[in-house]
Amino acid sequence: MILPKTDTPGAKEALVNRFIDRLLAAETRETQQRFLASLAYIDGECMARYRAAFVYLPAESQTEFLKLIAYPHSLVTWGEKLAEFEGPAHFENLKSWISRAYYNSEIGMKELGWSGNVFHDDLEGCPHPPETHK
Amino acid sequence: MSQEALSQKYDAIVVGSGATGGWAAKRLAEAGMKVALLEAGRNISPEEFTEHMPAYKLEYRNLSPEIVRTRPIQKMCYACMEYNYDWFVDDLQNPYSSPPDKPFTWQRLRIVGGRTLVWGRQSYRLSDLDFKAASLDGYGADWPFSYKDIAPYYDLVEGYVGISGMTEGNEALPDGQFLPPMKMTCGEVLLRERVKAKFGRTVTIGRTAILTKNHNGRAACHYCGPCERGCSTFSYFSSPFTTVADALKTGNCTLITNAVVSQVDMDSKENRARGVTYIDRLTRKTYQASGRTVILCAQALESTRILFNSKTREYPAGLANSSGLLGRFLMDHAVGAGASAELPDMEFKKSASDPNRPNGIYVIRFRNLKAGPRHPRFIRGYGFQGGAAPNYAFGAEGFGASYKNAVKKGVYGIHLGGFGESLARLDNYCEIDPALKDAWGIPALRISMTHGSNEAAMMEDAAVTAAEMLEAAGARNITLNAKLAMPGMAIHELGTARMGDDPKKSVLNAYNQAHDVKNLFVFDGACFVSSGCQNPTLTMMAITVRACDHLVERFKKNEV
Ligand SMILES: Cc1cc2nc3c(=O)[nH]c(=O)nc-3n(C[C@H](O)[C@H](O)[C@H](O)COP(=O)(O)OP(=O)(O)OC[C@H]3O[C@@H](n4cnc5c(N)ncnc54)[C@H](O)[C@@H]3O)c2cc1C
Ligand code: SF4
Repeated sequence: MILPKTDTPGAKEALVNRFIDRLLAAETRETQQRFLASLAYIDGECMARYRAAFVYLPAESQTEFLKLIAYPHSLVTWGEKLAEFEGPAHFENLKSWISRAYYNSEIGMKELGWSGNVFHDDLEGCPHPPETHK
Repeated sequence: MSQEALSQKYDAIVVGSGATGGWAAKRLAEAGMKVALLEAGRNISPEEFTEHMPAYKLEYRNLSPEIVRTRPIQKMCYACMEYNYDWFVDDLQNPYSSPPDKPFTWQRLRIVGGRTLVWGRQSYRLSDLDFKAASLDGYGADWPFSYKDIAPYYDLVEGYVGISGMTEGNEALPDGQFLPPMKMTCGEVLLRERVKAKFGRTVTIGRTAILTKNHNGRAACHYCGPCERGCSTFSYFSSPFTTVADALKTGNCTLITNAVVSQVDMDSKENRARGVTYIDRLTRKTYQASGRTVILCAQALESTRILFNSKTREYPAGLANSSGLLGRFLMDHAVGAGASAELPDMEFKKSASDPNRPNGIYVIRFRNLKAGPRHPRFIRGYGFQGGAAPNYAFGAEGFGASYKNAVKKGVYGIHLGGFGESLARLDNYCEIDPALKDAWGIPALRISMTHGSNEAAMMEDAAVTAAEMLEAAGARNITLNAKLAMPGMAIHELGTARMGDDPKKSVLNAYNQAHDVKNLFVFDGACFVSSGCQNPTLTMMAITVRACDHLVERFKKNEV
């Protein structure tokens, strides 16, 4: 969902879930627990809203829920201070794991244009005359 | 424990094979002296270099900091990573302590080449604004030599090492013997023009020990990027493949690896150093190497530790410490403050296959210059390292195809990070921790250092001036950081055996010779009297060559 297949492969194709398992296994307990807590949070919130865990939801509900937590929330509405909302922090936590794992995979590096070419004759540098840089 | 004396008596025993030890071995061996180069770490082979290895080939794709369990301190260094952490010391075997309210991070390598394997390669000269700073503002001590004394040695070192850069004719940062400069990006040229026009300050390309054309038998850089993982074409300067190799080529230098030097051995009657004791890192057997001169190049804190651990009846407070100043005046540049932002108007396309410039830009010091004005809140000054270039926008918001596109599209980032002078203060010091030993039973250091109000005021000013310069370049979303990083973060430890003409106020003389013991020398950063704000290694190397030439001359006349 976070890094889907588009015209290039996504996180699923890059087997990001398997890599995250391996990486987490080498992490500290705190980090592991923080990751699990974020997963549990999402399932808990989905249960409350849709009576099912995230993976069992139809795609529209999954997207709908992610949109709710993907952006920062203003906690002040019409001058009234609302209760803290943990969603965005959990979203950012999971997203950063998925994003890092994906962009450091072979598929992810190729997505960014990596071709294995490491020999360059020179740098490009700025071709513009003074005060016209864009 | 069994002890064994090496049969040969050397003319010089050089401890440490990093930036300064490599030069000492080269210079002395080329002058015909018989040198033993003692290095605590193992040898390094170019086969270990991984600069071209993509992250996905690593077990943890270079992501897990926790795999570095044996290096909880080293991993704070940006250059210590899954690729190369084995070059950094094992913190469990190499402990040190610091008072709970004075955290200090000490980042180091024990391997042939020392920190030159991973260093940032930024290379700047000091000027008389630094060497004679005390005369200008009354704080601290002047160096026992001036710029004109060291300038020829800067020329010599730069000529050999190969420093690329731009000449600027700026008094605060003397020009050198430069190879062609690396090119600036559009954002950097824009910053340079605007900052010059608006503030009269100079933004120049980083002066770096990386070859921009073939030089001295080494190939020009091919801009692959991650130098701290090694360089198979030896395009950046690291001692094993330059100075140390030259020393070995003479046939006059013996490299002894895994030799952890514990102390300098003294002939008390003659008041001369006889040599050093070392422990084999792997077998733990103890050896003695004897030499007519002993030269410490183990980096400032390690050399100081060796001197403390060499105390004798005559020198109960540490060898060569009749001044009581050994370990004092510890300095490390003030870093942490600066600003970052985006340049929204840049047009660019980024690809992971683009050349990767292993260098940034540099803003030359503009505070408290000789001609004034004096800043009301602090003395001395700072420079900036930074850069402007397209980055991938991994922090883009949202998810799905739009996130994926946003990452790839990227943002044009710009940032400046300050490097400020660290004042030499008596109450910043290291000493032996009576309760702590390393894995070889050698007493370890307790390091006690804080940055003071001068550094704090300077870094606050650096955040403000960084932001105003980015603003002048048309940057948006400027984020300031006015906080000082903990001491040690600059990895520029200096000053713990400072030079001077007066034996009561310094440990070494102007040629790095201990005032107390004539055939004992310290060539590394321990000799610095003040820190300047420039990265110090180029200066350390120039000082080393100057001290070597003086030593050779005296040695030939039998005067040491
Ligand atoms: C990530 C990083 C970036 C840096 N960037 C820059 C930069 O851009 N510009 C700059 O000017 N400086 C930079 N530095 C600092 C620079 O690396 C050091 O100033 C320089 O290497 C110091 O030289 P040295 O000879 O004193 O010590 P080192 O190069 O550290 O070498 C010391 C050697 O002594 C050996 N040794 C230590 N103790 C013993 C012992 N008891 N017995 C035997 N051998 C011993 C070590 O194993 C090591 O090989 C950077 C450092 C790091 C780590
Ligand atoms: S960027 Fe240049 S100096 Fe650095 S590793 Fe690559 S080729 Fe070597």
